[in-house]
Amino acid sequence: MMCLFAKSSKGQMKMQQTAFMLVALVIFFSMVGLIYFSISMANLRKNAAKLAEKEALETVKMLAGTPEFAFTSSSDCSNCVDLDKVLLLSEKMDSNYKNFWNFEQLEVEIVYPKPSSNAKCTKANYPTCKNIVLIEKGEKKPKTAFVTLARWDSRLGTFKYELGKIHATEKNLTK
Amino acid sequence: MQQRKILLNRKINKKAQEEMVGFVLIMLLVAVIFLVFLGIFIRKKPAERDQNAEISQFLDAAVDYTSDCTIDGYHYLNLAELIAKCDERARCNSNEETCEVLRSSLKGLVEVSWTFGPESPNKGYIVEVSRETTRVLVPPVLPSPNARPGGCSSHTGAEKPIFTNAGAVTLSLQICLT
Repeated sequence: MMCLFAKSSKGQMKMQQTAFMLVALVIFFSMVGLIYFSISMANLRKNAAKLAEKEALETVKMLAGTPEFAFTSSSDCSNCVDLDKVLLLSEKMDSNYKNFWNFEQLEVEIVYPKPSSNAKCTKANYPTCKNIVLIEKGEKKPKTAFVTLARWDSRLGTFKYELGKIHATEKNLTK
Repeated sequence: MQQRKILLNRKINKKAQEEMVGFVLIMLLVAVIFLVFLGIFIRKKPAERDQNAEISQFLDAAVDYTSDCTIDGYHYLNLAELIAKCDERARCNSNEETCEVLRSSLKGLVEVSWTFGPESPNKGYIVEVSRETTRVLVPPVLPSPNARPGGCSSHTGAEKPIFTNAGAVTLSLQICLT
């Protein structure tokens, strides 16, 4: 009787040992899984932020390809912005082009060569001016993309290509 | 009776040792599996040159920039053409070397597009024009006065291939962040 009692206690001990071992293993692998997923999530967030930034840049850059901005006078530069056209367009913004674009702010800036004046471009001071404002500044920080600006240089007797930026802020889609 | 007791003790000790060895083996196995998983998932990816979208757009726009250099007196060279002429060691009409005009144009373009300095998020930059990373056409363009090439611990950048008569040349811009 005592022998039987002793044997069943042994069996219970063995089962308990196995059970504890399994619990320990499950806890251990859960911790490993937790560490792995937290590292993966961090990488995912970083990639998502990079893609959002790239998308924003491409949206603004896409403006350069629209007929209102695109340089078509020469085949030298297919992705250029026609600065002469944009200057004329800025004068039509209040009439024909009011609410044409879904932007709160739209501006073309001449970056290099650095203009001698920081003034807004008008027919009187063009091209020695800093920027052409199509839609006045909004409150939000604009998205910016580098573009090539093309304009006719009467001194050189040819088109001149400069470095510029397009700044644009999209309107919020609200109902 | 005594002998029986001794034999029983020996059996119990051996069993205890066997249990301990078994336990240690399991722990070793678990540790090895853990290290293998750790090695696979935490190991750094091989250096894949990540193109910064903004810098990539800058390079695309910059290569069309019209410089002050002309060779025939009529057509002013853009940056891509300057790179090709620099490869041929040509000179502008003004007797300046095309490589020197290229270098100063690149420096001007970069320094006006970004702010650099100890208090800015951008600490410095390196612009390189080279063929197959072995033949440098233009010595690295650096901000003055104390920049060190390859001294960045963290940087972002982009590259653009320019095709010349002699083959592809790489124009690259790296901006140091720290």
